[in-house]
Amino acid sequence: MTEPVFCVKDLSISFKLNGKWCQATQNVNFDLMENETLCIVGESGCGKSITAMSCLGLLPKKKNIHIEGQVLYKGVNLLDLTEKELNDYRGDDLSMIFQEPMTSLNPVLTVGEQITESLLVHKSMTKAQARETGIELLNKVKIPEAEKRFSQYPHQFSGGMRQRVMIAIALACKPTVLFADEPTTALDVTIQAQVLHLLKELRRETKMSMVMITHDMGVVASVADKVLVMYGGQVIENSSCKDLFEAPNHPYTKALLNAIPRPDRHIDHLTSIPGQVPTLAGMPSGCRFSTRCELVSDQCAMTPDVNTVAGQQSHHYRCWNV
Amino acid sequence: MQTQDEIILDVKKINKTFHSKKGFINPEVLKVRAVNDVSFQVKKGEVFGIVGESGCGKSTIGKCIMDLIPIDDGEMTFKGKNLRNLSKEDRAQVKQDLQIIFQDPYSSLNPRKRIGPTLMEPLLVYKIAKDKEMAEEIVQDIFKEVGLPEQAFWKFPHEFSGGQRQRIAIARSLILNPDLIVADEAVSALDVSIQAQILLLLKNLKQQRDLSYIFISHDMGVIRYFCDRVAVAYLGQIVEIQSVPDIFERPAHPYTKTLKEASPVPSYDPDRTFNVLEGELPSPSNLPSGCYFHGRCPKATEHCTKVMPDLMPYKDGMVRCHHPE
Ligand SMILES: Nc1ncnc2c1ncn2[C@@H]1O[C@H](COP(=O)(O)OP(=O)(O)OP(=O)(O)O)[C@@H](O)[C@H]1O
Ligand SMILES: Nc1ncnc2c1ncn2[C@@H]1O[C@H](COP(=O)(O)OP(=O)(O)OP(=O)(O)O)[C@@H](O)[C@H]1O
Ligand SMILES: [Mg+2]
Ligand SMILES: [Mg+2]
Repeated sequence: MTEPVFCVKDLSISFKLNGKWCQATQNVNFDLMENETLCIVGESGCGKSITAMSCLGLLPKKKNIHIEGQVLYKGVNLLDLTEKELNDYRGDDLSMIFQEPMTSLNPVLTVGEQITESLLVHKSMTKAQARETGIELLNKVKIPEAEKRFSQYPHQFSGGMRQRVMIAIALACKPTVLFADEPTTALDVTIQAQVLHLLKELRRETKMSMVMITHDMGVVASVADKVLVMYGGQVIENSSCKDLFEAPNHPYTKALLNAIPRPDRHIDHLTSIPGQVPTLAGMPSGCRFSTRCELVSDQCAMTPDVNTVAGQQSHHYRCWNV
Repeated sequence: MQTQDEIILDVKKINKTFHSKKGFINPEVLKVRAVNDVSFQVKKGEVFGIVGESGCGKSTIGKCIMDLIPIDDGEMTFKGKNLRNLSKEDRAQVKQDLQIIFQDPYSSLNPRKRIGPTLMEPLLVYKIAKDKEMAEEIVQDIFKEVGLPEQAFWKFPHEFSGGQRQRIAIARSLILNPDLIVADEAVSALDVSIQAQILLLLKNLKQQRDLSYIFISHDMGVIRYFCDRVAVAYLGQIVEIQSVPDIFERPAHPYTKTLKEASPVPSYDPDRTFNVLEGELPSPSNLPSGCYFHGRCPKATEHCTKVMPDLMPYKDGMVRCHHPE
């Protein structure tokens, strides 16, 4: 067996809200092999972004935030590192595309300055070398007239182009692992298709691994090798992309798949999931889906153990009643 | 069932151009043709969809119908009445019969006012309820109908979840017992599990109250599930109108086809390829010559670069293309 390049072990993140600790994620586990794409999928507030942020040590070290567990890159627990030590990894080996493309580009710097920044810092290139590499990157993400565009400002780019610039920045130092937080959510479908296609090509070319966060099962099906389904801060199912769609196990995953209106076929009946997503301050104890689950039983007041699907080493779910 | 083909809304060749200033020292006036020669008809009892990408003019079309934005020219007829030339009584009637649900219901609710009294107001203004007790009763009935708890009446907008706020917006649109509701991205901001709840609710209400909808969305999946007929918009124009089965199974316009193929499908298919359009989306303030889609269209010929096609009858619908499928 080859070793995973990136590993998250029992990651639990808690926030102190009104003097009370609330666990926003609970024992999240995953690992990532070379050139593999993992999708983290789930509804708003289920903990996708904070999971990715803690993988890069980006959650502020404050008294009202408590992080437990391990985030291992090449055997180093990133959660133990200082800000200065983390900066050696960020933008170099480990890179991130943030959820808000419009706000994460700096409006007063040219696109070129933003792409070359990490090259100058991490790769000690000269300005001329960095410029050349930067223009190459813009070409790679299919920005027309890259040379001219290099010295323009973000507001001169359309939304789709800005998102591709974000990708160029994230890829500048050829990261080993790219974290992409909803990289296409703000985009139109035709532009989304361009960006997903681009990420897939780049991945083939550079052998990088990717953690992609999305709430869109259609995007999952388009890019994932394997998938982590989260609900209310718990990983409720974790499997290969194929198994997730063809043999889902957890009642939530099943219900979710039946609640999606589909562009590819006519459906007579959409099945909705009754109730609401629990709030951080009002999480049910035990299985957090239990308040909306049709299979709920007394046992669900305790957090279910991890079950492995018979004969499927890499297909796990947390449910008492499947 | 309703009588077939009774037309409730007839929109004919409406146009809207926005003029906005850009720059400070030498302001340059930008003209955006947000709605360009748009025509369609909505039949009684149907869900008429408008789909298209960001900025193509969907919301502006909806706001023109609601008279929230004045049109430059064109005609709109609602239940036989010319919307641009209404008598005082007719105007009051239309204000009740035609309602809109906005994408972000939060911004359209007064944050300092409790939900119940907000919703009671129009009932008293239009004298549908003769006193407060009666208004409260009507509001509570509608709360029940849209699945809101009784206590919601005395709560403030911020005390609700996104899904509940959308129910409030729906309740509000129903208060005056309308015939036609314009729903502008009414489910787009919601999570899948809540989105399904709201779609089912809208579907039930339609049946029970014999409503018609103009359903605006950018999501081809939602459109396919919810609509009967659809108009596809691109850069301010309608490029195709067809029934939902035809739009999805036999799209006539190359753009419709692209839109469908680019929509991610939630099932496993290792051989799936991305249908990637070449070229960038043109700026709506600097439109290309000929057909607006020619720069990205796989079927474009020289003719397409020069001559704008008209929206013409095609099969059972309409298409604006020199080379329809
Ligand atoms: N700094 C913080 N302080 C307190 N609570 C926080 C903080 N950051 C996030 N949370 C809470 O943690 C939970 C998970 O947030 P997160 O941003 O990871 O959700 P998400 O799955 O990315 O959702 P979305 O799909 O909306 O982006 C939410 O309930 C959120 O309100
Ligand atoms: N008040 C306004 N002043 C100037 N331009 C406007 C105004 N309202 C809309 N526009 C422009 O008109 C065009 C159509 O906008 P509209 O909001 O109708 O698009 P849309 O299809 O609803 O997009 P979205 O899917 O993003 O909601 C856009 O180019 C927009 O920038
Ligand atoms: Mg997020
Ligand atoms: Mg809109």
